[in-house]
Amino acid sequence: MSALNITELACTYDRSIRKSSAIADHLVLSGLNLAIEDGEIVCLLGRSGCGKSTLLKAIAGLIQPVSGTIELHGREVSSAARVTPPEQRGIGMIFQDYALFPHLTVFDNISFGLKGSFGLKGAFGLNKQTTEQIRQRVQDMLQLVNLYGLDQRYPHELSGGQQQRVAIARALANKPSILLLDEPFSNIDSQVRQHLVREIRDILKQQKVAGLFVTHSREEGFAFADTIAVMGQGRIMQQGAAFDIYHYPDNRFIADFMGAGNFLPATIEDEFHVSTPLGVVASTQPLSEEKAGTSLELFIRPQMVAVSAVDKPEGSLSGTFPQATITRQQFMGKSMRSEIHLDCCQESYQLVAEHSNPVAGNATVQLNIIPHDLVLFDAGGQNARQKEGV
Amino acid sequence: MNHNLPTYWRAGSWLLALLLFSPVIAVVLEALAPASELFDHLWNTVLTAYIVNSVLLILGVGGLGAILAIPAAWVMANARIPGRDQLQWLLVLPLAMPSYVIAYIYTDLLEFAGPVQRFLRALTGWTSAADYSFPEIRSLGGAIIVLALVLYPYLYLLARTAFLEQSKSQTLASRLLGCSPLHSFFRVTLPMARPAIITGLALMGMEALGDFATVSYFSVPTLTTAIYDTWLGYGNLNAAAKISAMMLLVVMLLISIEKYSRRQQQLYQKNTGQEQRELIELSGWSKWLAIGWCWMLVTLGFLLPSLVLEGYLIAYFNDSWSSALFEYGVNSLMVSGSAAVAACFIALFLGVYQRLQRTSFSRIPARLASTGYALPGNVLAIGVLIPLTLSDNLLNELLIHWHQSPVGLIFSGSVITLIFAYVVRFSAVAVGSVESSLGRVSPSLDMASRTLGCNPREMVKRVHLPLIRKGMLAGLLLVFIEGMKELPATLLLRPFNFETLATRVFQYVSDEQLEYAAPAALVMVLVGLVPLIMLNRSLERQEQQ
Amino acid sequence: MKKLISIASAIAISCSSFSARADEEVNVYSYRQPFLIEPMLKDFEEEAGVKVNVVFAKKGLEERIEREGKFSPADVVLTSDMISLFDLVDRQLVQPVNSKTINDNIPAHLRDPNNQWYSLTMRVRNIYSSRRSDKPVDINYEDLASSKFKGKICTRSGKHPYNIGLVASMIAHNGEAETRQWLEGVKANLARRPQGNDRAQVKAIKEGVCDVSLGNSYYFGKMMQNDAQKAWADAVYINFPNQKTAGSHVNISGMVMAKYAPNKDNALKLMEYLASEEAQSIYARDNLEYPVNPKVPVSDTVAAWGEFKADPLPIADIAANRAKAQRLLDEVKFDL
Repeated sequence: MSALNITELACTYDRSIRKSSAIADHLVLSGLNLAIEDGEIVCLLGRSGCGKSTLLKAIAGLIQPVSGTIELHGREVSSAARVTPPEQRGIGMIFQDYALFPHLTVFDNISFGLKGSFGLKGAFGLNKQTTEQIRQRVQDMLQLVNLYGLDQRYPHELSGGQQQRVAIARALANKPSILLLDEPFSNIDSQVRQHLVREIRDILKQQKVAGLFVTHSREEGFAFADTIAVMGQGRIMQQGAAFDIYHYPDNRFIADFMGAGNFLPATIEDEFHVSTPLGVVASTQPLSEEKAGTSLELFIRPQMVAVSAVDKPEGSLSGTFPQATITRQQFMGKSMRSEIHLDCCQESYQLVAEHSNPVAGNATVQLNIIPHDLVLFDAGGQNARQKEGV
Repeated sequence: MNHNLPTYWRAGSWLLALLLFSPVIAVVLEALAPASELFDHLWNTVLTAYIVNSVLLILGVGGLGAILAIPAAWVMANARIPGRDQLQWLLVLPLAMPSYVIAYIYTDLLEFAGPVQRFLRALTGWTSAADYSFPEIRSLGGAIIVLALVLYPYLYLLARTAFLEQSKSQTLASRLLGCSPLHSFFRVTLPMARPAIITGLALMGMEALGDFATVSYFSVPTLTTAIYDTWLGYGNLNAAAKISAMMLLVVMLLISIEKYSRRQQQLYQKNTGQEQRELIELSGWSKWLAIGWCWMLVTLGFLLPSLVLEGYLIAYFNDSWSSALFEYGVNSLMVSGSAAVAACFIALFLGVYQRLQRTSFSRIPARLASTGYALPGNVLAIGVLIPLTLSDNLLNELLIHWHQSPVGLIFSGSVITLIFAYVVRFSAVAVGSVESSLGRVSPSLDMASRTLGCNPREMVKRVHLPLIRKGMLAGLLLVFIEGMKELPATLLLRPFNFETLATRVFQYVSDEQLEYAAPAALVMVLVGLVPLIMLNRSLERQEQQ
Repeated sequence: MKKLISIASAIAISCSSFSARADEEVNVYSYRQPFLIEPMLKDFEEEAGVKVNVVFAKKGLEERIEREGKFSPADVVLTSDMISLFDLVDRQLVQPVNSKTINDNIPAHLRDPNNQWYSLTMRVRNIYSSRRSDKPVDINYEDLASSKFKGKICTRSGKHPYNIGLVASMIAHNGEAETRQWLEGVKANLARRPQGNDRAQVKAIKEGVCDVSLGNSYYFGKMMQNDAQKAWADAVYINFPNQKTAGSHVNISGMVMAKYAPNKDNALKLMEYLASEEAQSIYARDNLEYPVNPKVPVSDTVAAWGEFKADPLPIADIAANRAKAQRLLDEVKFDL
């Protein structure tokens, strides 16, 4: 069963708008579909302002949808008609600012959700759990997040990373069915971040908790999530494994968002070849069934561009490949990133390549596209092959 | 980073601070003299009862104030109710209403001979006081209610700001961890706003403890009464100073509680202010309760008393209107205005000194300058009189020594005394505002401006001043409003032929004929309204930032 | 900021010139309410061509004069009761005045043999009683402690100078122990905790809260002249206590010349004027008090209340007990 299932969700921020005619103009989310399986960690990736926070609020139960439904483990919790209040949803949430209670110790923060201290429940001794159980649970959680012994500290006495671990422990102590993580690592030092991301992912996996992780950082998303959902224009544009989304984006927007790449005009030659300013490029998989001569746009990730220095003086090379010049180079560690200026056919192009072989800056170079499963976009920016059901 | 302030700045800070502290020194020195037999007499007779009354008054005003102000502050910070924009500032208005005026009006309404009880008697056929019981307005309870009604805005303003500054995510976290909205309020929202609430309560407590006009009108003897009695009745300044010193200790305690909680607050607050604020939509009974609550406060604390005043104005217009009112108004404006400007200037001077010098030593001037707030107005009056008359006498003696003609009492015999007294009494408010706004200015801005070639003075002018302008304005307005209402020090220290709106009103209140001072009272309230509304505006804008 | 500073300093400078120093002037520190003395002072200004500057305060002027020391601008101090008058004298803040005019106008028992203080007006501490019952015959202050007034007495704070004056006179007549008993008896008879002013007690009688109250004589006349308060006055009898014994307690308002009076001549002029028939008749007419100048008759309103026997005890003897009186009031916790 899905931990979370969102169907055709539409939300607006301004609740004063109730006229249906006006709603359409104020929709932050519209026609949004998203499913998360038990134990799956999904990363919601999108530019700021794309509606990520609104979606989280809708899942948490702070916003009533205009239309569509949200189900948690098959139980409908949000619809235009009814919204279950946040405290009855069994959701855990991790915040960008940790949202620890500054007036409570680490122990009291973690045990916060375990105690029904106020009101009737407390008065009649109907606490959710006994004191001993609570103590045990808190100790387990501290062990889990590697903060054993810090239970009497106050949040302001902890480092950012430690605070975020407390937040994780607090959320998990309640055994939530799904954990929402709202940019949880953005306030953490980059040295600690990588380590913390891995550690928290392990904790979620060990506890078999489904997670929805919101970020605008691709690297965090790749490291943390099982699948990536790219969000744009108020809906999920593509959901799938990180590799697939990176290499086979559904449209230009996603291609761009997932990382640097080169766009070149391309004309289909035959089933396996297109011709481009760089000459004919081969695909390892059959291309679209569009007939030869159709103009499309070829998308190439930088690491698929092979760069080799040209020894001979300019002009003496055989005319198969046009010549190009490196304008800027950046050493990336395991590879070299080169920005390349290419003049061809009365047009000039700026390309990016990542290559491991040493090539001097300012060198005149020769470019080769390594044959791979090519991505082609049509005039509308959609993946030309996916559109036809490839 | 230690900025080398010019010598005049450092010396000036200490001089100003000592100047403002001198009345406190005077009172304490007076109190240090060996105990007279009178103090024992008081201790054995009435003093305990006075102390109990004072303590009950502080607790009562604080408790009732909290009950009144905190729900209103929460609603204004978090909920959308009809009329919210108007209520935001209406709720602050009772601050413009002097407590002795509102005390008089409620006594008039609620005493045995008042319209409320007359109406009840007409309705039920009761004839005498023996037939029924009606709570006595002239009582400790009455004083608590009246003082809470006019002092709650302090707590309201502070609590509202605290609620607004709270990160939404903490409330959401508590909800997701299983708290209902009400639980979430008591377990998270309220504890997190505690420092601000304690600050507000401490302010209310100090005001209540220092109040003389209201409690004397309600004949509830408190420690302030004891001071009046011993000093003016028994003519024993030493015993009076001893009692003042006792009060000073209590207030110091309140202040240190306030300071302590503010220190915690600094650690607590992480600014995540940029998130968009969503207001909760109230519906059904909760909406009507919220609306009713806020309007009740506005009505009881401001609208009803103003209406009664207008009634007096119309009924007694011919007997009460006089063109001299204009002069009194100008006097009030001038004294309160100059005091407010001076207090803010001093606050800035000391605040910057404290910020840039960054030693534990440099904190002292601001603390010294704030102590005057702890003195009730009548004690302060003695305290101000002592150093000023001393310096007057010294100056005249010197002039005579140099064969010049003496100039008379140029300090204590002029309006300067009043301005000085107001500054001593209320500079704490300005110092507090400036300190907290300076605290919000990141220290890296100091480094940035210094490395860009500013000397300390330029830095203050070009960086700090523009950034803390609003905080200073808030301090300025609060000092002004307090000055307009100030009574005990004004009564004793004013120069010849000098009447303010407050003294004019009190003269009639003390003669139980407020009706004849209705125009003065209304003008006083109206003059206070303008800065209050401005104050609220500037605070709101600050909150939105 | 610079602008603010310059404005502030401009204001400060203009303020300091407030203590006006005209050539012919006299400075008055007054405990008497401005509206009571303004008609006389205005009259004096016109007549003598001397400008009168006034500071009015309810309390604390002695302290102020003492602190101001020999540069104090105060020339004349007007008090509204004997307590503050004798405080001024005891603190040696006054100087004797040598004026035959004044001495001719004020009878000897109403002024200091050493010419340090002068009474200006007299007011009787009356007992008001409700018209719901008959006018009491021969009521004495001592009766207020008797059990027949249980729960029927209203009064203002015991610590008010008017009541302290009365208690001081009780001590002078009956001794401290008896007065303490009396105070305890009165306290036990109170219908409500002491509160309000003398006028409010009469109002309370009208409303049926109590039956008898203590109050100064002129309040009765003032209430009769006020449309809204006439009904209160109509509800009570004004009684002059202790007619068969020592006589009614009379408090005084008074004047002194300040020790370091800088305008001594003008001060003397003012004091002589205040004792004159002219000023005294304004006191009698406007404020319904008993003038000290024997040549000035009381107002018709006051005359209608009849002749009465005043306590002949010298004022100084009564005032000597004021500290004791205050202590007794504390000891019996009269106001609590």
